[in-house]
Amino acid sequence: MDTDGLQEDVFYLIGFILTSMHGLYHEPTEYGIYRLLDVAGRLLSIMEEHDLSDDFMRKLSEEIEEEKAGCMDSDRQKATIMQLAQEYAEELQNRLGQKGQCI
Amino acid sequence: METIKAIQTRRSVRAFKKEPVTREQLETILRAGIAAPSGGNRQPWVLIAMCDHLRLKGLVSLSPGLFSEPGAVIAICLDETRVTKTEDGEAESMVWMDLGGLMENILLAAHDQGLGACAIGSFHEQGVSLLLKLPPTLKLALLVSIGVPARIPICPKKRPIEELVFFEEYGGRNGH
Repeated sequence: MDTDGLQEDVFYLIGFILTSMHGLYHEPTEYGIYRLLDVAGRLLSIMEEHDLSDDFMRKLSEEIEEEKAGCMDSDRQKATIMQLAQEYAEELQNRLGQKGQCI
Repeated sequence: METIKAIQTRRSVRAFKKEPVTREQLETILRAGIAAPSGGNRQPWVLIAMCDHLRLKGLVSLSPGLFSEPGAVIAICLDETRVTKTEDGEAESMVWMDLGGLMENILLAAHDQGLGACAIGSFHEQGVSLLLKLPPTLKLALLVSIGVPARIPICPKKRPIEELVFFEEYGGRNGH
């Protein structure tokens, strides 16, 4: 694990989360979904940056970045999010299967 | 780039490569921005261009609408010393339209320069105002992210022209 700059990256991420919460009081409801998608993507980027990632997380990160870069389309976004959650659930099953109860 | 083609092909680009926007490109875009029309020629705006990596990183943490770090950001501020206030102390609505025209000029100029851009309304106003050291007479209105596109989105669905445009009167279908 490369911890150089990790605290700084998390510091900036905290700023993103707090200002997102603040903004959501007056922003459109669907922005909340984008913010959660974005924070997942930012966390995965930080993990990649600090050598904490793996193939599954890199793939997830790419799919999230692809969605974030697209035009605003709530139908496509919903389909993507359902797909991402499904992929995560299947990966969780794989990891539980391989390692027992420990992920 | 031909104007109508530029308008039709511009997209809101939110993903950028880690490549700088040159000073020359930025100045071209800023000059296009302030060439926008304004009511009574009041030009009620001040623009702040940011390119420094560390400052942009801070700005991204304060601006949830910035999905990734762009090469540059232009902050569009309303200069309240150049604005007429309504009886309840609010800026009259015309000035927001002026800022909208300026924003569109910036977006189109960035596109003309081969760059991507996106107007951002989601930011923590107080935090970004502190970062930019804005005086109390300047109100942060919008951010525009600019950079070399990493991905260009497809054209989103647009409402059909028949729903939106009429001739001579509401519902009118026949032009001249």
